[in-house]
Amino acid sequence: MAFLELTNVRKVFPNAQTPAVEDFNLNVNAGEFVSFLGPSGCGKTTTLRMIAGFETATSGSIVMDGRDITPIRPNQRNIGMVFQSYALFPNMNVADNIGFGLKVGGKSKPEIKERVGEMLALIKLEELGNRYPYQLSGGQQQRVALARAIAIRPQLLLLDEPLSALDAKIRLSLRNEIRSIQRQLGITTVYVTHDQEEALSLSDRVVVMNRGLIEQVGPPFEIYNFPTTEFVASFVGTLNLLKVKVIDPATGAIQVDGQTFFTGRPLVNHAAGETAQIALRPGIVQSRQHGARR
Amino acid sequence: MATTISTAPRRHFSWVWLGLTPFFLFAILFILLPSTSLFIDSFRDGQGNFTLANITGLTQSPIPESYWLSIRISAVTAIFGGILGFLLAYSRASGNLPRWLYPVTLTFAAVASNFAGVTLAFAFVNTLGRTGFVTAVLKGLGLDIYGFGFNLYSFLGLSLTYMYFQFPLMLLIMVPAIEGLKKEWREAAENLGASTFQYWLRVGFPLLLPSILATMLLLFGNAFGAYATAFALTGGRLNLITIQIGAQMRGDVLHNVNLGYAMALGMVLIMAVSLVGYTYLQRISERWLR
Amino acid sequence: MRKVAWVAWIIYIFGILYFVLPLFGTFIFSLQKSRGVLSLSAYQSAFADPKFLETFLFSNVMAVCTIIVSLLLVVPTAYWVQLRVPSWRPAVEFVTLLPFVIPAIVLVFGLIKTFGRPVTIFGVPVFPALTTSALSTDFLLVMAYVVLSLPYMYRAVDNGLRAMDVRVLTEAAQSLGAGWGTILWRIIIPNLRSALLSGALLTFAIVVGELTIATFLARPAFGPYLALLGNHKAYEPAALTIISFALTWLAMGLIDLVTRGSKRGPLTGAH
Repeated sequence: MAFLELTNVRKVFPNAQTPAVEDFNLNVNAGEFVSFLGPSGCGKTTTLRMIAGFETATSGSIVMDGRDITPIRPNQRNIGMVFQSYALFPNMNVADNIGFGLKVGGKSKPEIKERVGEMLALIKLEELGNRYPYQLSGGQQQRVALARAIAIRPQLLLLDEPLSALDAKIRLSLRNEIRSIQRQLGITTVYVTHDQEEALSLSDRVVVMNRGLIEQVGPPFEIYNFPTTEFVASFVGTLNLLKVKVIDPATGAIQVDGQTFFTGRPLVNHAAGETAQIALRPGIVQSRQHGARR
Repeated sequence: MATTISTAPRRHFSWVWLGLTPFFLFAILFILLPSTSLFIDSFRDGQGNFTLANITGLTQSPIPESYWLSIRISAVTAIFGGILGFLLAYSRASGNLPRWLYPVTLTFAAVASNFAGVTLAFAFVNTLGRTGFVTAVLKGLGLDIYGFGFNLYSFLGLSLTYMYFQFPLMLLIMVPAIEGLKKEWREAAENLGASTFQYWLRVGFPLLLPSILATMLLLFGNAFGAYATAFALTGGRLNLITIQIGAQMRGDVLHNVNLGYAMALGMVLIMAVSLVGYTYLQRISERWLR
Repeated sequence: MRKVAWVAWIIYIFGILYFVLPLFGTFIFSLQKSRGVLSLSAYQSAFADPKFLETFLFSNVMAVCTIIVSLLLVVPTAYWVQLRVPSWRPAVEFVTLLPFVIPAIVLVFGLIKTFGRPVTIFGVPVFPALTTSALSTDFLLVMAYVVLSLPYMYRAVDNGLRAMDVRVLTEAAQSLGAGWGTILWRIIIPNLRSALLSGALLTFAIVVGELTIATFLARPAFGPYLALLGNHKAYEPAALTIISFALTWLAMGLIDLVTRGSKRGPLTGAH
């Protein structure tokens, strides 16, 4: 049984014409890193907020670790969340921010101190425990936010576009750091992003969403190389769309401009002689000298 | 106004500050000059010789008592007005009230915080005076407040009157401050296991505290400098420092104008201290709530 | 959650009662001039006093003059600070805060002291005494009111300027060949309309009922008239209180109307 199960989740905001999320079905395994990828307004953040408990699903169920969490209040869910805007408490220093969840959870002072020390070591900011958020860079702030979310030993970690407020260089290094911390702790993680590169490089599986619906779920390789819908094909990576004629679905033979090519796998749902569309990644196109065979 | 601007040279950047000349000229003539001349003459006697007699004169009865009364009444109305105003702003933010009440509250507050002076004094005489409306209603209910020793022309009475413009001013400033608390802070706290109460105790309220205290200092100054309301309500019956200065100017008492200047100087100093505190707290608040 | 809602309601009702009762009490009182019946005779009698019209008119003229001077002083300054001399902002803002430190009673004391006799610099007279004629005293009165309204006017205008991109608008206008006068008059001021109007209305609310400065400069303003009326009449002051309350309400309502949707400016004056 999967660790996190979302079944037929649907969310309609009051006064909204169309549902924000619809027919959302997904199972996330324990320790898995899953990304929700899609353009803004596609429902990925809404889904994340429903898992965290900040939004209530209009219908459907969300089960975590065998227990339906839909009626549970957000402060009882034991889910860690990292926000796009960091959301560090400005009146507390780094150590107090990280220890906040433990403090309100009634943990003892030495226990909090020890855990905060561990967390500071994990994010490599041991020296900065006494600093205040406004004295930190954006990248440091987001690492503190990550440590704060992990400190409570959550069963599930949610990250809502954690890198989008940072500049490109820091984004890359923090991305790797997030992944390595996640691997180290083996914590089940859901990651929301509109950046396909982030989603593809971080995740075990990617959920591509558009207009409140799931377009495709699969490992990054599959999403990139075998998109099942035109939206996924065009949203993930750059590509060229070409009209082709299917020659033999069983062998994957197609014809472009009178020349025959092979797609490398059988073409299901297509009949011989039918006109179809192929998406061609620019990165795989190689030019060879005329006469050389492919 | 166009002439002021056009006479400022366009390319010679070292001269662009000339555009501010009218403003600073005004400030020097009508703010700086009057206050420095008060300052200087606080250290002079009637013949223009240097003396500290006016400053030492401030320690003679009833002047210290007047300062103390003004400080007490300002502090009391700032604290209670501040608490009531904050609670109102908080109740408003809790979101349990009918929708039409939200904009109306702010207009109410704007009106009430500007409704001070002679008219406010009259309104309270008609309400809590000996024959006032509320006094009569309470008497009808068997509660004779004047029988219990209440008097509108007393410390309590004037405090209640000042409260009328104090709490709406607090409300007016606290509403945007509370709205400035980011939704994410609340969600982050909740996500980490905090209850609503714990959120307010450890995050929301501490974040607002500098702004609350700063606004209370503003209320303090607001009451401390008030003259019209107190004069219209009590005449000379309460020895506030503003009333004392007014009496000096009228030449009613003592007839030592230079002592009056020293009293005014003392007021300015107290106001300056509270403004420095206000600016300091405001800076902390801005750093946090940016 | 229910408990919170209850507490919120109780606090709100207390606040509303605090606000409404004095007005209601005054209103009821103002209707009782004729014994036994409720009537508007206190209002008729208050309006019938020629002194009322005279002082009320005087205060309104003073308010209009204050608004004009204040705008002429504040708008170009705030614009210039925003556009060309942002390094002067702290100094200008410091000056606009000074009226908070100097209460009205101290201000008028200092003004009388300074301008009650000819102003001299090193023995050379540069200014005649201003308190000698009615007109020059009125000038002093207006200047004092400009000082009182300075913090509010400056903040209203500054907020308005910050809400638009002054630099881009100015440069765009310059690149199209506009001079400074045209830029201020045709571009900046029309975009500032709601800020200017709210600053003006607030100034109006501060000035019309003002007592302290008008009293000590001995000018026939509405505030001192009302205070005097309170000494020997009962119902008429109540009627005029209601009237001036209605005027304050009108001013604030108008500010509300013109600033709707934009960020709220400072809606309060000095006491």
